[in-house]
Amino acid sequence: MRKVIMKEVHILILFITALLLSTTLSAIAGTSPSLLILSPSTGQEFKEGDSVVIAISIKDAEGDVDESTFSLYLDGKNITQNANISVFLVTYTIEKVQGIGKHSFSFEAADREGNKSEVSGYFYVAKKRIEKEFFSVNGSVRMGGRYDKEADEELVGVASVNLYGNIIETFSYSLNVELTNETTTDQQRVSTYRLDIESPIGTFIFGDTTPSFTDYSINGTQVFGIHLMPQFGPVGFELVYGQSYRAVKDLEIYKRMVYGGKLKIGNSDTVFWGLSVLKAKDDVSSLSSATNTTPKDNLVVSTDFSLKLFRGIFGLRVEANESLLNEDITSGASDFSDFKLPINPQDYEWLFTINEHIVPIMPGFTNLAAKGVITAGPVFGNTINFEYFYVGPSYYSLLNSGLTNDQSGFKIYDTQWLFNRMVYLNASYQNSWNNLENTLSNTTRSQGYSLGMSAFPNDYLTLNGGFSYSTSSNKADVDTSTLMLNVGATKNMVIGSTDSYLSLSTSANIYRDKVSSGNDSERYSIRSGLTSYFDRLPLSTKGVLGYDFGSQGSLYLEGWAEYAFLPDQSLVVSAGAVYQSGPGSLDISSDLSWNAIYDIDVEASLDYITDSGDISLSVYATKKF
Amino acid sequence: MGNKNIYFGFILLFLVLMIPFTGLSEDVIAYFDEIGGDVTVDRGGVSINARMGMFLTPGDVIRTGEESFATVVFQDDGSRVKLGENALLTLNAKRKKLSLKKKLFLKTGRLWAKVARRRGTEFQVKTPTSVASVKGTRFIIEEQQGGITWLWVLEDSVEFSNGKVKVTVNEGEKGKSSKKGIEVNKIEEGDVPIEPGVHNLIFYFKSRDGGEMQKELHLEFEK
Repeated sequence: MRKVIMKEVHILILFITALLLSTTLSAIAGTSPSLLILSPSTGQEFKEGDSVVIAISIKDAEGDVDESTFSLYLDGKNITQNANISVFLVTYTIEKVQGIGKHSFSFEAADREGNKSEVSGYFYVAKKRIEKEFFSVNGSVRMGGRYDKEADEELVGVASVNLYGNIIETFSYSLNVELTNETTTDQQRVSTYRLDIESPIGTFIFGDTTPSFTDYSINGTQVFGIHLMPQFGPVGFELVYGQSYRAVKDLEIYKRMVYGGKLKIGNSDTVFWGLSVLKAKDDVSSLSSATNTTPKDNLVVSTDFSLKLFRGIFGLRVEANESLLNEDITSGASDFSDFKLPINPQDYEWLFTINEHIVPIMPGFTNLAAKGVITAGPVFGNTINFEYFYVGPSYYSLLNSGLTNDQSGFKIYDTQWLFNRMVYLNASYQNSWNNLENTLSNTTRSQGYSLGMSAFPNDYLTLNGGFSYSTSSNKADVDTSTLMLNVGATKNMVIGSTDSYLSLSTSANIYRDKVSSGNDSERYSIRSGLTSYFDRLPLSTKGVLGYDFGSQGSLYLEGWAEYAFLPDQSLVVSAGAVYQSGPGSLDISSDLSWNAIYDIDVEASLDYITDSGDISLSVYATKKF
Repeated sequence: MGNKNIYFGFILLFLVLMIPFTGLSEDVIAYFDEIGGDVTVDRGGVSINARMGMFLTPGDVIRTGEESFATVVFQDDGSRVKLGENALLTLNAKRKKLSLKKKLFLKTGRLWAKVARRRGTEFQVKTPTSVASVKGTRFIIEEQQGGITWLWVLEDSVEFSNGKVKVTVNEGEKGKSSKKGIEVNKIEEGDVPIEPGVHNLIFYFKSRDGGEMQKELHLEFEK
């Protein structure tokens, strides 16, 4: 019995062994793992910044996959180390996919018998469109006022709104409105209203705008109306229509209308050419009666050209302007029927009013204003500018009121950096004269020279010095000269727990009038000051001691301090005083700025001059959103 | 005696040698393919923040918060389920050769399922009151408060049971299961819940005379 049992046990053992052996043998001769890409789908498209999961399913009938043989590649780079790995599944997450275009991945695996499998796939990444809200608005509101005892208007209130944002994806806008009861000396409006709209085809401005065609036609004069600047590739236009002056009866100021257009080809970074027409005409009906002024009509035709070469190292800019001025259009265009002119001036009154009050157009360049500017540099640290200008005696632009005609001249200005930008030199020469058409009894010539130097031998020391000399003479009743010298130094140092700047400066200003020596004056000053920024406190201080002598001796004392209060240093208060013994004046000032609750900024300032009793106080609050 | 020892040692040796081939390792059954918002996984009493590409094992409980969703893809055949907001889903699956017998428990919330059509696929979703068994189809199942289970079948058919009654819900039909019974009706237009995530709609414009397609309009929106 025992022998029978033992024999059956042996058979059982042999059977189990054979079974296991066959299993092992079949595993040795078995199939490679089966791989399946679960994600992404072949050719699936993602947007830049999307998260992407690469997932591979692994199946093996024999269950003998060898994890150590797993290799995952993305765009040729082995990323296995950063993947999540198990014998059934491998995943790899790209948090924010970058790189527009096709991305390929592949995965290899083998079982313990060395049977390999490989699978590959790809996906695309497209550019992500910037999502804009249909309508967005940001900006600020500011309100406040100022009191100035000595000003023409003692109390001035200001309320301003500044909004900006976009309308759908293609338009952006900004709205600026400032309301104030202040007016200019000629009673023109100081309040401003302006709406800017930017579109793919250009900029459009409604309200107060400051167009600029050329330096001598219109350059920054405020016009209330519309200013359209469409741009189509290299070709652009500018159209201006509006009012530059409103009628003021007391001052006999006529309402002045502006009409202008400019054709622009190219761009100012490479090559540019422009042609413009500008008309300013007073509205005769805007004043019922005026005795001291007359309504005018002005037409300016301009062209300008600019060129930049060698990546902006060489630049050329020229402009030429011709003007027509009628100094009195009260009676309108004249009827020249007796003269049998080829055109009837009355038919062209919309363009320009022709009557006997036109400023004569003389042969030559009397009605011309031109300018040419050449710049070169920086080349080896040197930059040079040359400018020539000519404004004819009969050139007028009513929209460029600060321009002086009957002038010509040139100026050269050069700057140079030396010694690895430790020394900066600048020099200039200018020469100008008037009486271009010998219409004046004397010609006034003005010349000027200047030299300046700044040195920065190290990060803590700055030295500067300058000299300028200018003369103006007509060999009759004008013969003046002005000499200015200045020398200074600033040293940055640590004093105690402060980061301080010690400065020393001297200057001399000598004015001589050879025609009337009573106008001569001299002023010399020497100042020494210390400005400190404290490390451990939110405190800054400044003290200056100086003395002025020459025409009048005067001690100069200045003190100032600023401290930031509150734990977040949102409340900054400063106070200062300047005393000059010569005029006996003490100027006290104080400023406050506070970033209060709800994101409101408060600013206040106080200024008091003791000898004149002049006091000014201003308070403004701004809320941003 | 000596022979017995030899045989025993031989068997033991083979058993030891076979151990590596039994594939004893963590049973990863699925992974997260998409995550939106607040999604966590309860595993072994520990709550883990879900991450894209993260492995899922049997017994994992997936929890989604307000305005959140998660997409789970199963390892064996790429079947995917998307879990909507404020939902609780327990994953369970048993390996049967190279496939997984999937049994999910949706305690609350809504689930969009796309089950791969493979021979031998078994996919079951249980709720507190009902069971939906599928052989390969697309459907949506939702467990609402009050013990009501909704089922929308978008492709093929689903066997729907409330423990007492078993009904087959076909494509284009929706079922409502409660303790009282199961109602089956046609899916009305606009009745199918839109799954969370980014959707792309493409409109093709053709000329009136039936000519070639002239323009495409692509709309992308996120739910």
